[in-house]
Amino acid sequence: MTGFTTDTGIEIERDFAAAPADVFAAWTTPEAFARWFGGDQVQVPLDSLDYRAEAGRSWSATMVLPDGNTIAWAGEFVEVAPVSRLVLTMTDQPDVDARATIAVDLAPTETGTRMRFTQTTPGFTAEQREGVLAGWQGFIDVLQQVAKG
Amino acid sequence: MRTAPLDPLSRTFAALADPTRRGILARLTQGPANVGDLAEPYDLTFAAVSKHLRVLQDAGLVTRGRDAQYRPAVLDATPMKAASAWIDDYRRFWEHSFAALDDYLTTIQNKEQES
Repeated sequence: MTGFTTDTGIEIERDFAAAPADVFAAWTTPEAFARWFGGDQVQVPLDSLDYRAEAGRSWSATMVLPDGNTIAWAGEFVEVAPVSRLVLTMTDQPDVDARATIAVDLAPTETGTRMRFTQTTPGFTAEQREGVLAGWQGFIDVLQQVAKG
Repeated sequence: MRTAPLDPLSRTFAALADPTRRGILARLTQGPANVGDLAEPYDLTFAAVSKHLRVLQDAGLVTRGRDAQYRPAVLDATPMKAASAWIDDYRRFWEHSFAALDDYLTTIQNKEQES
């Protein structure tokens, strides 16, 4: 798996030994999504999940951490294009208006599916997002100098 | 569309969205500077630089000295560390998730083959 920080935030590319339809279903079926979202150390109780993949529809989920603490997730489906693309917004602070946008693009490969995942940083206007696109690298340069200190 | 009130992290990212402000921050990593020092590399008025500094101050990225005449700008890296941690935390979150997604897909493939 390759993962790196890009113009827009986070980008992760990953290959799966499964057909795009299966990967898409794993993203869009509540029972499947609850199984893997957050990894194998957390639980997403199905009865906490309001998750129907339709463009314009809100979703919410509760995540139970190993220490018993919970995280409330919320967001909205933006684009649902079987079996190649899914766009949704999300936050773990539902009382704050800012939402991160995540986009999942699926393409068939010889062995299964290549998934390209991106997550933008939350809270941007379109103009600000353009600004970030124009020069995220400069920020990263500064960050690397500063975060060392 | 209503304007979203920005949480501190979003304010940091928004402040960093402007190339001039990133340039100012890069300059400040070398040490404190006054408005004149900061304006020099750009074709900007002192007023324009002060405006950028105000955005950076509001985001907590820059503090200003007390001396009314000079008021050097000083970098405060704390919000940037939070922004960096935000990216790292989310990356880890998704990498754990996708490992579990991989396991899940493997499980359903095996089931399909068995049946």
